Amino acid sequence: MDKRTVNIISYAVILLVSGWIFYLTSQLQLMNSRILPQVVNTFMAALAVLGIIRELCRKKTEQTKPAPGRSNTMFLWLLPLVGLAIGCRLLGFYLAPFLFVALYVRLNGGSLKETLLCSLCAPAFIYLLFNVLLKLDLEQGLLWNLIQGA
Amino acid sequence: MLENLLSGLGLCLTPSVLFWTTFGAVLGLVLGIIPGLGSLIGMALCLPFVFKMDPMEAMPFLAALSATGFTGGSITAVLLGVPGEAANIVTTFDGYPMTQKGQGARAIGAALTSSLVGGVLAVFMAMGMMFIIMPLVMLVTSKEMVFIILAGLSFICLLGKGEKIKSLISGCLGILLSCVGLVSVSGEIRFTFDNPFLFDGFSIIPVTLGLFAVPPLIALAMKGGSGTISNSKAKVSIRDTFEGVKDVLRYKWLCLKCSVIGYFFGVMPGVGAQAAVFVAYGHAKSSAANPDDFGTGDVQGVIAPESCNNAKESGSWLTTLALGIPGSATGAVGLGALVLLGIMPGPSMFTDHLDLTICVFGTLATANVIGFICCLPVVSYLARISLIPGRILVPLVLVIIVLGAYATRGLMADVYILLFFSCLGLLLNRFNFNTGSMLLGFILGDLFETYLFISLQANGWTFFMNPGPIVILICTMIFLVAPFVSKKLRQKRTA
Repeated sequence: MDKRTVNIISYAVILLVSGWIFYLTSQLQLMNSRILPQVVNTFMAALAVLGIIRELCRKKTEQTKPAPGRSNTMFLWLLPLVGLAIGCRLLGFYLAPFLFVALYVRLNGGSLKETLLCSLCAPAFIYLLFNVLLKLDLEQGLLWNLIQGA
Repeated sequence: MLENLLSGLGLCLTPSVLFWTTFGAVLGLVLGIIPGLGSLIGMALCLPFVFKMDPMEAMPFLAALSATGFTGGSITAVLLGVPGEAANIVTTFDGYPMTQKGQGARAIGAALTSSLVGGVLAVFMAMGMMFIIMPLVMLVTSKEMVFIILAGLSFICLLGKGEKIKSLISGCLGILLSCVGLVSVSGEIRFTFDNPFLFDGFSIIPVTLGLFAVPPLIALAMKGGSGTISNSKAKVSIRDTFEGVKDVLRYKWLCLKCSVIGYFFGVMPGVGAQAAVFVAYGHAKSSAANPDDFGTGDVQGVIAPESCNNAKESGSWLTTLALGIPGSATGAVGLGALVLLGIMPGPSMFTDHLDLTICVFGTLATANVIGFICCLPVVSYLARISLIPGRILVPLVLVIIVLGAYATRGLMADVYILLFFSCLGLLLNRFNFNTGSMLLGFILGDLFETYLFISLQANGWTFFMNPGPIVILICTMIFLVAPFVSKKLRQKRTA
């Protein structure tokens, strides 16, 4: 896709989001709650329309090459983060980081020594900082709660 | 007066005060380095322990802790692109690209030196101008605040690189995101989809980490297991660090101006360091000879926010001590500590407790010096973090980010908010929208609405027809237009 098409699509998405916010704002009961989002949303929609008009008036440009680290596959790299978040919910903040770091390092070509060292460092650091130093209670995980319940 | 000043400054150098100052400064540095924790959490956690201490030890300890948090935060902001404190976000804009270019040590050298200059300079400003500034601060009401915040919002259009429309849209999106939660002016719940976790709105820490810390880590992960942050394999030496120190001397006027900006934002209660750093960055960019270099690793983009955020602390402590109005969240904790210690903040701090007040300001300066001395020798070693392979760095930093988001309120909901904003940050980056503008809108949107409605209710629709707002409006216009005019004039002269 060329840069112009990408820009037009992004402005169109902004217009759609704007329409959705208009709908949500109209559901609010009090005038005071509506004013700021409505004014800002109108301004944003006007900017998106202006952007589309400007892009339509512009000549077709060369094919765009996303900057390094900005290709569409980058969204797939969110999956490890999602996995870590789910892991923390299920297994708690000690076991999940240990497994996450171990899996990540090993799958990316780390040696056994590297894997063990890094994966053990993570829970040890978490324990020392949050449990010993800051005395904060961390999520123990649903699995641990189930075991305790049983 | 002079006698009190000298005795207060002398107290800063007594062994017990110096010990607590050093301890506070080092703790602030360590907590500042860890994303999501920061000096605010450190101060809050230390509060139960300080109330049994002598005020002359407790207050310097807390002041030192608050003074070095931003210095610590700048290290991860530069090396990993992960802001240690929310006010270090802007440092990532140019600090991280400098690290990618193999100039990490230079960037940290500049960040540490500008933090030191900003922190120390603001102490002198606070002490020298306390009797002039305080009556002026008392004159600031909600209608003036509307225009001060508007001045901050006007920098949205300056932050963007490339298309201004996209910067403005990003700013609007930020303001709309700040609308989520309980509306303070009407009491209505807005855009929460009946989710109780959203009633307080989005917390700044997961938003910042999602928008600014996750995208560079994903970019690093995409380089493969042995990819590193720095594209240069050149050995980092102490000489590179001193290059950063020299940069601050080269841009001394920028450092000075941004320190003044930080100090004034600190004095104004309720605006916060996050807004101040954007204004300082916007000013640095608009007044630079090559504004297009900003965002690609210009050292001025590191000097401006770092001198500003450290300078802000002195201003904030001045308002807290003199008026009993906390200039920031750390100021609020400091206020709590004073009350716990049986001292009532207010004008009496400049009569009955003048030596304590002077001691606190002296500590702020000392803590900045300690922070600088602690960090400078290890910068060249710290900069080697940028040469650690991605397969080690990415999972470890991701774990710290998730923990940082969770530790904010101790809720898993903040981890999900982190995921949402990580996705949003990637989308905005992919389509060349501006995450910086969005964050500025997010920070100031809620404040703007609150002060606007208070002004409307108190003064009606003509609230801006007053000398205060008009003066602020004119100053903002001059601030925004002057750099462009001077640049045009310079170009004309050279032509």
